[in-house]
Amino acid sequence: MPENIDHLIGTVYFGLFALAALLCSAGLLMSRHPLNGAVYLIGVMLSISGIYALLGSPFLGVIQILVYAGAIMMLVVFVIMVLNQAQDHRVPRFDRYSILGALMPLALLAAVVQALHAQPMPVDPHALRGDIAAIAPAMFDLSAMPGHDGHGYYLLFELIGVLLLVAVVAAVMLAKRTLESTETPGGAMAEAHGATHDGH
Amino acid sequence: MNSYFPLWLIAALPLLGAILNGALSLAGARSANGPSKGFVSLIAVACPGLSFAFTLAAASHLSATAPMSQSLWTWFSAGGFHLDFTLLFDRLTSMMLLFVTGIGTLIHLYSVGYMWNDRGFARFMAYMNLFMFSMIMLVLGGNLPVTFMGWEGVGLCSYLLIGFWHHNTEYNDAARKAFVMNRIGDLGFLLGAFALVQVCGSLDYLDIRGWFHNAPGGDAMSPSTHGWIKAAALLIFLGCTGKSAQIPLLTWLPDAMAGPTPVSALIHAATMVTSGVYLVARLGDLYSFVPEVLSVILVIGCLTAIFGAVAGLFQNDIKKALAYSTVSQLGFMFMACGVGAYDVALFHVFTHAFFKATLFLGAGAIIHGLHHEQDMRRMGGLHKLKGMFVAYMVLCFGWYAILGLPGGSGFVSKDLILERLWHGHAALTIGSSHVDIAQIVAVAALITALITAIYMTRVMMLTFWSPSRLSDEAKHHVEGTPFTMALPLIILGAGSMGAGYLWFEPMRLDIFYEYLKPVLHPNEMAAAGGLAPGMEGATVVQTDWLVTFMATVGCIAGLLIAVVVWRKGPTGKSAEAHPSSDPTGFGASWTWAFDRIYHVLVVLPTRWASLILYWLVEQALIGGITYAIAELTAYLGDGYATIQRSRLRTSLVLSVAGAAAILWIHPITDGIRYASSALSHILSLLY
Amino acid sequence: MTAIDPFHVQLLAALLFTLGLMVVLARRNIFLVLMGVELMLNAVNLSFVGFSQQLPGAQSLWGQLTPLFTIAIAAAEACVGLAMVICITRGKDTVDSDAFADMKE
Repeated sequence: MPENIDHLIGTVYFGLFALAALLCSAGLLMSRHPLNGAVYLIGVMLSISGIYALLGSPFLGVIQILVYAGAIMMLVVFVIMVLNQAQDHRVPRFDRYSILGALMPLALLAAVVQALHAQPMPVDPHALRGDIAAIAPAMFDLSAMPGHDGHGYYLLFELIGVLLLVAVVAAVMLAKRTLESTETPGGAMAEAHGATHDGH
Repeated sequence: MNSYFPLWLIAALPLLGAILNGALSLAGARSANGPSKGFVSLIAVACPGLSFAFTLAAASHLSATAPMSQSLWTWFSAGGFHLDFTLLFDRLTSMMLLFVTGIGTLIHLYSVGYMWNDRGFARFMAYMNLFMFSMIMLVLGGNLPVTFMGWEGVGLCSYLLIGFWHHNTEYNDAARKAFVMNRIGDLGFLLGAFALVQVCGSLDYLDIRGWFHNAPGGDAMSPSTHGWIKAAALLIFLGCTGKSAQIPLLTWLPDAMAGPTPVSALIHAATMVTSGVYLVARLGDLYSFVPEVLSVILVIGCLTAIFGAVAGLFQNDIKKALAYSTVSQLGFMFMACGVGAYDVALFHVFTHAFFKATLFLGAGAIIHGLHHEQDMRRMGGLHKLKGMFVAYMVLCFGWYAILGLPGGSGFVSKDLILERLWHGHAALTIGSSHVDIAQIVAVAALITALITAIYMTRVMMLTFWSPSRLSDEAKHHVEGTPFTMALPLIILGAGSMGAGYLWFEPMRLDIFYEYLKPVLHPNEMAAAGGLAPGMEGATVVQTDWLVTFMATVGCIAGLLIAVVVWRKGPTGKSAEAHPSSDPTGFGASWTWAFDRIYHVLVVLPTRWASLILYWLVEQALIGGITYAIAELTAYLGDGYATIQRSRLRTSLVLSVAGAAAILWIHPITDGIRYASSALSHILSLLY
Repeated sequence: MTAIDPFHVQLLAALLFTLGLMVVLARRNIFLVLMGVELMLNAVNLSFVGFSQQLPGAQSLWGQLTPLFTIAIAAAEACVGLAMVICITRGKDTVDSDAFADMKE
């Protein structure tokens, strides 16, 4: 029965991705250097994008890889490497306050799992597959979609564009002032310095 | 005949004067000399003067039987109870208003001269005008609440004017004493009014009168209604004792002499203190209905008269002597009320207003002339001094009148009271036996009249007819009586001699009696009937020459005693040995008997109760709880603050813990419910 | 379409969220704290997508659209966040988050 096989393969893939995500998360938690942590986090994101694809949202999976794993994490890695003191050897990985910090989320988790368990979660057979053909009109098509009020998300989309622009400007302002006020020698530092000046 | 006359004008003018003078006083408060005194005095004197003129005009519009009752607006209305702002103008009102505004105007004129050099001239005049307004409202009010408004207003003005020289703590204490003691009486007034509205359903004087005229007499009335009526009468009389300085609320009046002398003359002799008598007469329907209460009034009036007269004997301060004399005379008025002789009581109010105002204003002229010297031990031989002639003359007139020597106004009114007492009836129930005490009271009143003659002659002896005890320097600095003071003095002096001839039976003069007869006579007959069954309508009209003779002999005897005792000046401790003018020895014990009684009965228990409440309730209970809460909060706060302050991550962990706790509440309560239901299930299985 | 048990998806999301929160709370390195926040955001996105399968037709797209915006906003957040990290680490010369708990005064 091909459907059964599909089901089986889907479940196996999901299990693999989930395991990878969990292991990478644990690696993030335990990592010594932030750069290691960043690599683990990229691993989590790739796993999650695979799960998105399994769940019928391939477009979202692609975006996840492009924006998250690609752009954001690239930025994080870049900043970690710019600040060459990103691993502070004076700071221990864990201290006695970390015990509480690790236990409390478990209490939260237990509550959430208890609540999830109590709730039946049927899958709707008519759920749409979120490929680009379905997402694009849902986002930008003003003509009525079936079962949808057809407003689209133009305004929100534009606002987020403006927000990103503002964030970039703010980031430049913050980082520029700091870099100008410090006299730490270093090639990367000087490059960043020059780059901001070129930008203006 | 009974055409419309705007009664509110009578009250509005002094109010206008008070507002104008108050505004002027405030506006001129910062300037060096204050507002223009000429302008202030013009307003201050013209407003009551015009009120007097309006009262005259209104009285000329008045018919004998139909009173003017004008409803200005609805004051308040609640459920079935409706109260208008009503003014009532009948013959009783017009008589009271005429002498209130008339004498008031004269005293205002006198004040202009007396207070001319005082910095607070405009303020004083504003208070005086405000007093006139309140007094007019008191008299003109057509129901108890409007009267109460005026009643409170005169109390307030009395307080303001006693404490007018508020830089002196003693004066402020006197003002507060007057206010507090009046408040006790006012509470009685209010409760009495509530009791009355319980019975009559209205507070309007005309409605009350109507209710009592139609009231079922004797046993037809339920005992509870009768109880309410009796309570109302007693409580309102308590208010009257407060305002008119009767036992038990009398001690404020002598202290009230701290105010400027015109105030003592106007408020604490002529007008305000007589409002208690007015109210009893106004509610004559009520009081005639309950003869027991009338007897109470009679006894209290008698005791007050004796107490005041004896206390007057010991005073060295000329104003205090006159104040006790006022207390005593007010006792006479209440005695008259106590046998239902309201018209005689009011006649004594009327003549007393003249001669007591004269006495006070004459004393004021002396005090003014001697630069605020009030101690009679430092006077003597004053009539020989230049500038004291007017004061001397009018004091002689006032003295003659209050003594009751033939010809003066006191002779007439006091004789009338004695006659009514002698021929009256007052049922006092002691146990099961009924005693008619009217004759006993009459004898007591006669003795009081004799004591009156003694202490008043003493005042005259110490002030004038004894060797001078003034220093030479003081003799040369005596200030004369200005015209504005002399004119009212002469008018009032003449009045104190002539006012009695408005009702002088031997000369067939009974204008006063006839004028008030339509208003008061029915009540008097009812009272006579209530006091002595079968005596309805039997009020004395004929002069009893025996009583007159006895009274005159008593006066002359008292006069002679006083002349013999004080011909050489004051007895007892001299001013040098005892600088304070307060009496000493037995005089002090007598004078301050009531103060001491209050101290033991009221002040000390209150103080102890306050102390106990302070330590037990305030400090231990309330303080303890609040401090405990505050300390606990501070303690917890400190403890929590250390957590909060330590590190950011800890706060974050705690907030996550909070979120987890919120999420866990539902499962936990669910679990408890499940467990309890399971438990009950198990238990039900067991049993 | 493969029918993966939604409960498992949600369980995974909750676990990832918990791990992210643990990173935020337990670690002191400020970069790791930031990455923990990103992980938590991812977990929530996953939860959205998992739940979106329970809605019929076009409504099922709502849960898939929301993560798109979340990702965009996360990008802005990371941008400003990293700039601030640069800012404060330069001033104190440390990446210890406890060193910046200066808000108490």
